Amino acid sequence: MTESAAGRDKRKFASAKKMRDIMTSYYIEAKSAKETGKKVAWITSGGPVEPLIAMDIIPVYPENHGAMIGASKMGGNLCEKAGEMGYSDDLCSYARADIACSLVNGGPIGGLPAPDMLICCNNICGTVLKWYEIQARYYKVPLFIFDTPFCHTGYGDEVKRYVRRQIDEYIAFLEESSGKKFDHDRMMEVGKYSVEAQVLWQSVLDTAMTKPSPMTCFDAFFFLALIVTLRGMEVTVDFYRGLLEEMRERVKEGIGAVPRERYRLLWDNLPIWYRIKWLSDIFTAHEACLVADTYTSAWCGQLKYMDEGRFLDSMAEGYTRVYLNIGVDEMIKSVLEMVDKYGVDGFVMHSNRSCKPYSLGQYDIRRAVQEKRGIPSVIIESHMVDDRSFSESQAETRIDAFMEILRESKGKRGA
Amino acid sequence: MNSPHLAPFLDALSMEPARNSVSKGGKAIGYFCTYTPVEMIHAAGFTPVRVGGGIAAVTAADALTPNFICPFMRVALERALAGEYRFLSGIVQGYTCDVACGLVHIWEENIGGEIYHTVPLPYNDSPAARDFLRASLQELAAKLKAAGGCMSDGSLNRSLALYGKIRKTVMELYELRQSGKLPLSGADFYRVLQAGFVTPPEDYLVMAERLRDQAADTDETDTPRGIPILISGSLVEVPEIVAICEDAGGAVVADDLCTGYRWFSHPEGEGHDPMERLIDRYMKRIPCPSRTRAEERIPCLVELVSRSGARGVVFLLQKFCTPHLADHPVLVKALKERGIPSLFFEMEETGIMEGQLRTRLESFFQVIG
Repeated sequence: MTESAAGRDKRKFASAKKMRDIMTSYYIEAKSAKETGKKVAWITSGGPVEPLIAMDIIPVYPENHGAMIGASKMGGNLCEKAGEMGYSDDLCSYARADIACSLVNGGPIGGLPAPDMLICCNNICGTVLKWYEIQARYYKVPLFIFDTPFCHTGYGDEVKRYVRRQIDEYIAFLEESSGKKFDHDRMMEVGKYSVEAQVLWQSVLDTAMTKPSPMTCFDAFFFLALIVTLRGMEVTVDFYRGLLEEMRERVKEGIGAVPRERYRLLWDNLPIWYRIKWLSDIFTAHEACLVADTYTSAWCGQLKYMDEGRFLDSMAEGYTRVYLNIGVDEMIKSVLEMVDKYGVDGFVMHSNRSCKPYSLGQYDIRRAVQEKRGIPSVIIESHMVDDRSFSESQAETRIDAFMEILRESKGKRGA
Repeated sequence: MNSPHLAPFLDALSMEPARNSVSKGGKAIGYFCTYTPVEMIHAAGFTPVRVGGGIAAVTAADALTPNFICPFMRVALERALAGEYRFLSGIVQGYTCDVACGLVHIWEENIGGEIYHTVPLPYNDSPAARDFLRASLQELAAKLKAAGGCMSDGSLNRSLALYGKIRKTVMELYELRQSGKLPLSGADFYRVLQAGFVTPPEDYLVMAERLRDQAADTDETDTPRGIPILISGSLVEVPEIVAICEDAGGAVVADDLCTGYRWFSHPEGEGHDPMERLIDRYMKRIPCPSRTRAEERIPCLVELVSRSGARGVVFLLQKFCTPHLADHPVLVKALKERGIPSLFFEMEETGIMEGQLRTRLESFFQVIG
């Protein structure tokens, strides 16, 4: 049954335009940095951005740019270019698209502003090290590597000391690269905004606990941009406050993101950026709502370690204990918590050829979820930005079969 | 010299000596790559055994891993699932790449054993990084103790000395082969080296010293024939690939492999106590791309090419290996700028496309010959 135009309008987010406007202004400011005399730092998505904001250095995220490239379906061409430059198709497609984009100023915004410095935090993967090294050579700018050791289960004193010492080195690096003194009072203020934005982002995601859910993970993939790029700024706090109000309003009015929500699903791994709408339509047709995901919660999952009163110390722990830097046992715990919290019926796993650390433990996680919660799962394969090898028919067949199983199992449970 | 006596090395490759050490009441611990502090495993009373992959059809491991990780890890897991590594008490691994780290957990879940541990290695070399590495190694010592091991400064000193001697001896084998006194084909030479990863180190030292002495005593020389090349990559576990390089007209005179020179070079580190010496060696060794920037690797590679007289470099990379694949374009460029040609070939689970490799090598040798 096709939904009426009025129904569709009701489901549109007023905040979407606001976010596009903020992101547009942000990219205009970043791309005008040379004229305004501001410094630009490229930083990994899991990197500690707050000190940059406190130093008035503009943070730029090649990964966010990669997502934009993917969503604009420009990843295939750029990855082909990277191939011509000698980079294997088996490397991360964020990295390949970005490396090629630097050379041709391609992509939806004509390339990123050249960096004055690079900040690489290896809490998300080892690929970022090689990627940022390549860019440091290309742009001939200094690279700071923020080395966060892998945490099996805990966060011992030695890790704490090692990471904390690097925060001081990081600040010294920023002072030297920008020629400015670090302002601790300003840092406290930025830290406060960062924690506040993360709390709000978590609250936004939490609204999906409601049935029907006011949002899907595809919406979260979109609204994620600000918490990634500009956490620590007042504008971000204001935005998420507005978004939360909008979500709560939808909850109050019973507006579900998916008409006739019958199945609630959990998404694992990064998005398939060039097929977001396509996937969203397929699941909607199955009356299934992807109510949560393991990816977007990474930008608030560390709140339990954060303390705005001692921001720099707690930041060290928060950035070290991100989802991708913990053991699979911890990941399983986290996934099971989400299954329970959001009332999940099924698990959709994106086996992402671009992200080996995210994809490698998926089989064990899948088994644990099946054993401990008895819910079915499906694996869809892609390279998150490089659309050249994606098979729509294979993905659709798998999703259809999975939904069939889900319908049966939910039927048996009498839901 | 008479034909070098290879039988003990070939026997050791079957892992029989390692299995025997377990059947006599000892314990063996597996590891994936050469950033694992095997000296500590040994000092705690265990036999370190490097887990191998090689070539095999992957079926059982398909249900546990995606098909876009390196063949080495997938085939190794397949072999483990088939029971080949049942004699190991677990896996200890240094966190070098994301895949090695992830595989430790998959082994623990699916293969079992009493000790599983990943040593978090710092990426940079700084006083803070060395302090952290020391603490990480102390954590490993505690884990080894919990598994029934017992390491002291004395036993670590002895293990460092043993591995130092092995490395020095193997470096001498490299030199003897270079000078023509050790007339081994590239394939056989790498069989000798590979045995070093799966043989109890006390036994391997005796075997390597015997081979060295046999070679050193001879006045005859027989240098490898063919166009001298260096092979570069991570693991080249299948000697037949080296044989193809040589059959096609090359002579493998040097390598930049973690199944070769990168492990055996730089015999010992410096420091006031054994732990400091261990850390120093790991920090100063010829690095793997997962542990350092290409800028650090380029001078090592160029120096190896120049010292060995290689006329070209053949990159033999594991498919899907991010650190090596990401460094590859800049290495090629750096070599080209110095007039050193190179060729690139990927190894897959099902092996290599022999015909294609042979043809490409022959063309390469024609150009550089």
